[in-house]
Amino acid sequence: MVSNKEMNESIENRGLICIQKILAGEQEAFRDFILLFQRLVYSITSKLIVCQEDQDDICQTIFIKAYQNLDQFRGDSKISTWIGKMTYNTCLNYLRRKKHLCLEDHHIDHYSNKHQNTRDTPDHLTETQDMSIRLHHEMNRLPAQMRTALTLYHIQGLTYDEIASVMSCPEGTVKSHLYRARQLLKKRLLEKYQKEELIG
Amino acid sequence: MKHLTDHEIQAWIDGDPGMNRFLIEAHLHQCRECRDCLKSYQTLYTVMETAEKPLNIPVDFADRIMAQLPEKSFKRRHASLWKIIGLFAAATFATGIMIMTSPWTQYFNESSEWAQRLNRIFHAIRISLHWMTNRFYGTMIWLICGICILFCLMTLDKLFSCKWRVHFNTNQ
Ligand SMILES: [Zn+2]
Repeated sequence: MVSNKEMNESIENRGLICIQKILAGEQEAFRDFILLFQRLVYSITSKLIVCQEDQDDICQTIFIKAYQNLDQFRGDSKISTWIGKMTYNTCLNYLRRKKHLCLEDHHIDHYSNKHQNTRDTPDHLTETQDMSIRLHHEMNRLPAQMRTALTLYHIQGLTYDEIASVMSCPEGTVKSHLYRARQLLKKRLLEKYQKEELIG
Repeated sequence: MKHLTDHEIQAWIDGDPGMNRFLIEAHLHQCRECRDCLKSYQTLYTVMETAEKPLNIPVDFADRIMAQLPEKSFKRRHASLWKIIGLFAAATFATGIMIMTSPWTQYFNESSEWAQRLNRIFHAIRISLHWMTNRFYGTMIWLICGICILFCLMTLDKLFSCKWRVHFNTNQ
């Protein structure tokens, strides 16, 4: 099985090839670029924005912005850091405009609870699937910055300092977000599962 | 016995360079409780890596963007090897002249044959540049050389940005 890390490295290299083509005048290559990075953009925005339509609009804006600034990409950071930072800032601007200044809103929680209850039938789910659904549920209860940091670290495979540059904050803050978030998640999972189930 | 903190255990899994790997591993080796804590974190990491909720990306997402992409022609940056070699040569040449016309240049200690030879070459160049080394011309030459070096460095920096990184990364 290909690990997250290897997959992300290959995305990075394919992204660089796309940029090379686009800068050489091959506009169609941007389609591949979108397909490579849409998961990253969507996974960050989904942690910060509740409304699906707004999310789609914002993701589109981000890619168009990326296209317009493609020749500004200096190559001194990873593409995912560059796009990630753009995404994070765009989301924050959106939230500020929408006066959702408080990032620790619980709308997302309600929203996902509603969705979860309709399909949460643990009978035919394996234990890991069950645990992963629980984990989603618990992750949604965390503050937005923690959710974002967790996703960037565990799903997108970014390092501490890359996350720090995406979120424009010191590396120490990223670490403390991650540590505190995981500690909370572990505590909450231990409330639901036997210790033996987690230790395996 | 003082147990490991949750932070230390996570730092160990992350491979955080700020931790004391030796002390943590020594403790893990002899403490079952902390090993159990480590295991539950490892489970958490594994579940988290596989636990991305469906992202609901529209099927025609890329098409929608391609349809509204603005017209834009990117300025092409031609970065040929010759250009880079030329720039390096220009920068070296300018630095050379700066050293040569400098009143503070110390010649090499004439202890070996190659030092003597170099000194002779330096001396010849210095003589031929002698007419320029009065105060006014000297300052002008320094100024021009300085600007030339600055320009070379700036151009090199530009050339070595994206395009070259792309080139090196994709050819590995
Ligand atoms: Zn212990």
